[in-house]
Amino acid sequence: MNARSGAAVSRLPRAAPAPAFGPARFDGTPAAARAAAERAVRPAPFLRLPPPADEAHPPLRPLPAAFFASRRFIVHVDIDAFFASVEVLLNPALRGQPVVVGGLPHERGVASTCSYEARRYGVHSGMALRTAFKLCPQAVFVRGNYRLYQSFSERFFRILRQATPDVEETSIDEAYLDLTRCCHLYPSFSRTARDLQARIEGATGLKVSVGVGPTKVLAKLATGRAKPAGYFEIPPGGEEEFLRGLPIDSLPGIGPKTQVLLRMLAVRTIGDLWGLPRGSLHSIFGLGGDDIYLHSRGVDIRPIVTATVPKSVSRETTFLEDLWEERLLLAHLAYLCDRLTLALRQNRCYAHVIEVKARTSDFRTEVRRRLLLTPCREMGDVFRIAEELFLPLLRGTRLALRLVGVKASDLVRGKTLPLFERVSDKGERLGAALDEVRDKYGFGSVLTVREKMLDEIYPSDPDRGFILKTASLTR
Amino acid sequence: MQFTIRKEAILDELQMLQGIVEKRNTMPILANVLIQASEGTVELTGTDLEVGLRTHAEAQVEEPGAVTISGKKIFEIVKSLPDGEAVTFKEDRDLMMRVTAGESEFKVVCLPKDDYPQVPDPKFESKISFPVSALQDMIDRVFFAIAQEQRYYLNGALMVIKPKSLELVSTDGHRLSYCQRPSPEIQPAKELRVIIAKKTLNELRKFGEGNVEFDMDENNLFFRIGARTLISRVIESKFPNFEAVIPKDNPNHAVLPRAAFTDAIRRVSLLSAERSRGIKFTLEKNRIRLFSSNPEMGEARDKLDIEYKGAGIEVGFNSQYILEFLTTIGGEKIRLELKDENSAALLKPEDEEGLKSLYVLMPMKI
Repeated sequence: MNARSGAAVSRLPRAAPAPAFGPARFDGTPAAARAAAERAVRPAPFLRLPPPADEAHPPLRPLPAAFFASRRFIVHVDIDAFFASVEVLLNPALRGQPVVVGGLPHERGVASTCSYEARRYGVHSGMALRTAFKLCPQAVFVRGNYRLYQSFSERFFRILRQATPDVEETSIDEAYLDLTRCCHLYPSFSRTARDLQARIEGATGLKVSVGVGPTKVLAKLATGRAKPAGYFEIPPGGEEEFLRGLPIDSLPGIGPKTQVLLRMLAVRTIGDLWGLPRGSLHSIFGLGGDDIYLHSRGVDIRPIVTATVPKSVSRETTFLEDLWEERLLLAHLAYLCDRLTLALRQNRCYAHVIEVKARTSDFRTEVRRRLLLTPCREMGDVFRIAEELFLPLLRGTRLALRLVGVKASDLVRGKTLPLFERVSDKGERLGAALDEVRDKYGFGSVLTVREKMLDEIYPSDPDRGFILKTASLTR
Repeated sequence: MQFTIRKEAILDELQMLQGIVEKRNTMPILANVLIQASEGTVELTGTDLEVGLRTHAEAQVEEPGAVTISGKKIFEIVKSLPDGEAVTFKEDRDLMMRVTAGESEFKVVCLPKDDYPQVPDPKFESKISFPVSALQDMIDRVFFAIAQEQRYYLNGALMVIKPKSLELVSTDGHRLSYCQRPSPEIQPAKELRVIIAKKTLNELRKFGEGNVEFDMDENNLFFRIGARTLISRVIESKFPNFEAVIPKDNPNHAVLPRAAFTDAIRRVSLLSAERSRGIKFTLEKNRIRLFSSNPEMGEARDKLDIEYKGAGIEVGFNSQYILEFLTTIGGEKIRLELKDENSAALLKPEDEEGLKSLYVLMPMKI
């Protein structure tokens, strides 16, 4: 533990003194928990049922309070019925109605999200559209616009990142935040978490559920309690009470099959799970059993994964109609490079390889790539290279183009400056300044003259920039 | 063609040729060595068209002649024979070589000598020579800074021969390693600058004791050590103007204990980002702090007492780049000269005698 999280502890309400504790063998530190996990991976010779809880066998307690003494402050944030909520937001006539996003009722495919009103009819995400229609024929079915959701999602994460850099994006609408490291900034973590919730709702119009706890699994379970649109914080020392009554299927990692097996052992709640020895869980469920054992006690040593270096980042778009005019093609390319470099900066990485892709009207795809001695991530550099690659490609074809794209790959975290070229940090400073302006006024607020030519073709939105035909958001 | 030679005498030469003969099999004949027997000697030649080796061994030649044979196979055959055995090579019928030693006999397919590429035969008129060991020490000091990836950068080191001085320089565009040796024995007619291919440098490292004679013509460089001559094609690219990037007046000087600094970098680099290997160095009065972080794994810190009176600087470097230099030089202490976090840093051994080493390293944006 470093000094900073030590300070965090002192600001948090102290956990109750550690009660005498039964079979768990860790002293509370993540390292000890890991060591305990390693020790305990010993399959039991046969399955034993939990001992009955009576005077002689007091019920097992989930965790030593000492575990939470070095507690972290994890916030789990989840947008409620994300895609459906966006649809309602943009079309208020849908408010209060069951909405299913994913496709039209007669189409093949599954519902990707449905509003709470639709859930009341038993519709859930992942359900075949046809089934959803049978259950709830009066629902409004929408195909959905991923690009649109992505831009909402970007705003959502931008707000989260203003609170702390320790943000883990688990999906498009869900994140874990670790506020522990930012303890110096906030007098009260709970206030911060609530403020965050209000800020997201204010800025996006979307309702979010927020759960707070000392580990990831507890925070996520707290969000389950908070839904919809609520806030729930597990009070220090209240972990055991919180967990005890929860049904086992609320625990991440327990699906229908696991649930059936556990029910055969008369396990219905997380509290019941505490009676199962780790060895038994391991012998039935393998390594997943060890996770169940630890998670059911609120123990979760998974760190917040703030940033993984992606393998590559690319942006491409199909045109509304095939294009041959160099000026407009370069405008598209510039806009895509702008989008791409933004993503590179957000991922804090540099690209060793820049690749340009063009598809001609006869559906042939051509790719040109360049390897760079010094990796880059600024608009000026990337566009210059992309243009140098693209122009010969364009001039070599006699056909109009239907798609262009740029891709950055061989990504690295840092770059050593070149020895034989003049080093200037102008590009970098420009990039940082642009990011700042766009953070405040939207991506479309600053564009180059070249990009502005797209005004002829696409509607634009100060927030999101141009609204291209297809999602330019592949990763 | 027929000749007889002691196993050890030819094995060493065949061993040397292993590094030369082409392994990628683009032209089958390049996997072969050319064996030419003439009065009292056998000459063995291997080449991949970029680098060639000509080597001689004394032998009892019954019938002069020439033929080419798989370099790898003939090496393996000779190596497998009992030590001290006399080995007889005889061109049997057309393009079959019979190799006999004691009771062992091999027949190996050959290719005609006329198909073998011409390997130039130098005259050695320049009279430039210096000890091989000195050259090898210098190669060690620059070899690591030659670009790993050929696709990015020129693949060799620059040799500068001046009156009484021999210099070797390598760079991969991010760093530069320079090594100079005072050599009173060298008296060239004029200053010579040639780029030596990485493969040639690697072969030169393998040569034994003695002096190396150097000469060149328009297309080739020649290095002769005893009975062996290494021939290397001139690399046509232009070496960057390295003198211009060696910092002359970086104002902030630190003197660091080499071993302790090396160990600290090794420790901290354990948690640096997988590929870029960046570490942050913070210099303050008489102290340097090291820090690395990797979002997927964690972070590492270390600090070290040093001699430093300059400005406070925070600068990033690729830890592997620094380690490669620190582990090739000698001496107890090193000097680090910095300007700021965007300008080249200069590293050199503080107290080493003989060779003069310099290392120029660009900072890293992390």
